[in-house]
Amino acid sequence: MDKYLLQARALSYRWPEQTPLFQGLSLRLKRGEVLALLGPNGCGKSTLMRLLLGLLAPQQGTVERLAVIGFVPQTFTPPFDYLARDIVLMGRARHIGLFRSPSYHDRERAEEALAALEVQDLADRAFGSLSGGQRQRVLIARALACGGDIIILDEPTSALDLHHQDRVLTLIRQLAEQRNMAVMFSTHQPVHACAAADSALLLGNGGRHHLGACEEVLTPQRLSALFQLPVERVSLEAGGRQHSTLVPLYRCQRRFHD
Amino acid sequence: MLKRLPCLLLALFLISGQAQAQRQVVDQLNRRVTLPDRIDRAVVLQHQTLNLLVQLNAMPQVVGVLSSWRKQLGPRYLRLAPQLDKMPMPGDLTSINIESLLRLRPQVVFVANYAPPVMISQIERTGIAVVAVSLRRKEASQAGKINPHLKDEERAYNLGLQDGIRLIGKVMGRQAEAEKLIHDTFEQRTLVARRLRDLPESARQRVYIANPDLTTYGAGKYTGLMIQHAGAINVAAREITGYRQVSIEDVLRWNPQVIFVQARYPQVVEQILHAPQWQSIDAVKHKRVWLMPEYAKAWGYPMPEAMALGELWMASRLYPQRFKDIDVNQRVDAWYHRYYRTSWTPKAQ
Amino acid sequence: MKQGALILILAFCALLSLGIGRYPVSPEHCLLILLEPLTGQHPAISDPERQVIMAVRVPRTLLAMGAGAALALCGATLQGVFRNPLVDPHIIGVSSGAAFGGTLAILLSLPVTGLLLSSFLFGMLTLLLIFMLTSAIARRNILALVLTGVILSGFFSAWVSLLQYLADTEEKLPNIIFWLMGSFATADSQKLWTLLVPLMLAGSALLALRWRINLLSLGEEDAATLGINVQATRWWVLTLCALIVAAQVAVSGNIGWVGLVIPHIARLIVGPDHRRLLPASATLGALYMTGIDGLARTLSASEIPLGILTALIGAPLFAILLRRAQLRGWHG
Repeated sequence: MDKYLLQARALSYRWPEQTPLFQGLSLRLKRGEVLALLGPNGCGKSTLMRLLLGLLAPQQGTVERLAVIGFVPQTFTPPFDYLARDIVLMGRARHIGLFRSPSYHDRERAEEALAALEVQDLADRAFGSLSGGQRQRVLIARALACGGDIIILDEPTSALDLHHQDRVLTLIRQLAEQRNMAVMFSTHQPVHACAAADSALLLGNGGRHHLGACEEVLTPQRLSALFQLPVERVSLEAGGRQHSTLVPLYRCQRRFHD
Repeated sequence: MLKRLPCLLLALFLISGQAQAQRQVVDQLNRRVTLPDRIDRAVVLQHQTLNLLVQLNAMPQVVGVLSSWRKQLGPRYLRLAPQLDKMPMPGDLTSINIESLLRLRPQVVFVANYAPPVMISQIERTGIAVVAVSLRRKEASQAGKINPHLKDEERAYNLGLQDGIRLIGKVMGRQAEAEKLIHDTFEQRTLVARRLRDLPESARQRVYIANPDLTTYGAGKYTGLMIQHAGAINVAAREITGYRQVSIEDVLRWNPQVIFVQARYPQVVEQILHAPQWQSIDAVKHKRVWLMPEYAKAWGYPMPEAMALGELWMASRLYPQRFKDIDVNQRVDAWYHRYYRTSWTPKAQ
Repeated sequence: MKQGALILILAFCALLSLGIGRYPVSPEHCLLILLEPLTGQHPAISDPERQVIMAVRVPRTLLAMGAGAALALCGATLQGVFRNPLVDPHIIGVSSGAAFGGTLAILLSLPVTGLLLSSFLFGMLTLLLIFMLTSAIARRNILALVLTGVILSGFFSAWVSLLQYLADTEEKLPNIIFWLMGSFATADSQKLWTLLVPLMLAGSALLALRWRINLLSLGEEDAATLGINVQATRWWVLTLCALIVAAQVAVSGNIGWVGLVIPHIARLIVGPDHRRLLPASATLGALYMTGIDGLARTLSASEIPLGILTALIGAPLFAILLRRAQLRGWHG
């Protein structure tokens, strides 16, 4: 039987004197499942993540966490130049007593996480000196070091080039398939959701939301209306395989001259 | 090592305390102090005491002085005590470098009554006697407190100065000189009092003491008594206490008839005489802005020369007709010869 | 490794500082006196020499080391908690409160014990006010904490100025000013215990918390997602720092710059990880203060207030450090 690790029931949230971000939102995240979170800027993606992480108290509804959540923030600038290894080790915080420092066991777990993300060679470098993609992987290693079964990533691909986008998306799938974790990530790219996620949660304006399989939720009609921009589904064949992808038709597109 | 420290200190204290138990005096904080019979190495950390030691001709027994003596007594003081030029300075009114002090091997240290208690106990722990001088006599319970409620300020200062001079004389073995100094001081004072006895209240001059930056002395302390003895009224005394800054509007309102400026601020006289906002004041209109001579020390504590000569000078400037027959400069010169072993040179002022 | 070397250097310098001063004591005599508790009294040693070493220099050097360690430890900790390398222990306002307590005690002519107690209690009262004010402004915000510190610092500084204004210019003011500028000249066992007991207790608790400072330095949300109770941890750290700072001000007045500059030097040597930074800062602070105190008591026959020396040396030193940091980039 599928085991739910994270469950939210009938969540509602609104900032003072504004329309609600979402109303009656329920979601369940089980082992091995990847959920993508999409929506326009300011629609409440970060707020929802903070509610799920327990950083915010829900105004209505409940959040039930049956496992530890590792979180990968979108931006992370430590004020001092810690080594990548020390950053990953910080993931062990909840397992270490108030007046204690990390033990040998904790350091072992941090090394394992570094190895899992193939970033051992970066361990002794200052975090600030790493590239965006390297930082993203170190932070995912930190989330793994938390030792939980849920991982939530805030726009993990937003600052990355195509190669690193691909690596991170592959990694997300691996976390779900090989480590049997429950993964949730937010993104602005419907393509990324379709590539890596099993289901998608699309937050809209005025507190509406849609949750379901990617293909059902991320339809061209819905996306076009939400982002006020034509979005088309395109099928194409490449490398002997049939691909289906969503393409935004930007208004300012330059015309091709023959 | 640390655990043994208190025991060790106690042992040191007992040993050094016993070695020289010769005689006891009570200082002006009412502390009983044990001293060697003869003092020939003393350190002075209070400028008033230093000035008294010079007048008691005890400087040959002094091996160290406070570092701010130049600031407190004025650079011209060197003329009266040339030894000061090369004198070691192991501390000041409120602080001490204990190693510098120990190096001078003093038998006694004179400190001000307001020296921090830690400083006094630190010196005593090394076995050196500490004599505190306040130049005020007051109830035992109030010794060492600020703004003591002196029942009779006049009496407290007069007796305090006598006590102080006698104490210093006794410690340094200069009792005869001390009695002579006390006698001379109060004899001169009686003269001034006699001449001003029939001065009616309405004829008293209204006086303001001008320091730089519009600071002045109000009521309290010796400065007030000095003006009172010279037969004048301190215009600031009714409204303020101690050393304070006032506004020019206050001075205009008080409209003093005479302005006195201390010897150390000669530039203030020029400033007042030329500043436009002072011109309507009575004292400035009549050019009665006077620089006080160095012996008229308008300090918080009375000095013998201020009581004997300063009050006489002030009274003779304010009421010249009552002192026609007295040559102040000649009396000053005699005093300087007797107590400073040099002459008073008014031209150098 | 580096920490061990630092401690060795500190021990060496502490011994060296026992050998210097205005009173001449030869190094051999100095060593003989130090060994006397084990060997018994040595005939070649004079009483004044023994006094100078055991009653003057030993408590003084220990007090200097304690105060230096206290300031640098709190400086490094608070730079971490406030996520800002320009923070020093004065930021939480406790030192201003303690300075007010001490000034008040001098004005009221309280004895030494009263002065120590008064400055310590006012330091802790300031902490209480910080608790109350921050929860009145905004409970979960580090900015609120900084603002409260600024408010209370300003408030108590004004009170110190007022007391100075009211103080008798001839008798009390010089005492207040000298105390505020800081001095180890009157070191004795009472002052030593007043500093060492809070420093040992709160200092070891802070050292035990040192890995948590890493977490706090990440910022509120990030630390919270890692599963630690940010509020509780932060108040623990602040309370411990306040204890140490109040004790330091009580025994040696307000000494600036040490808590700001020393953590930067320590960071250059052992890196930013607070597990190594905190012990290294404490050791370096003790070392620096021993040196400063050596200057304070030997440069002139009188004592030079510490506050003057730490600022005169600390300010240019900090400028050099900042220049280095600029060259290497702010995170270098």
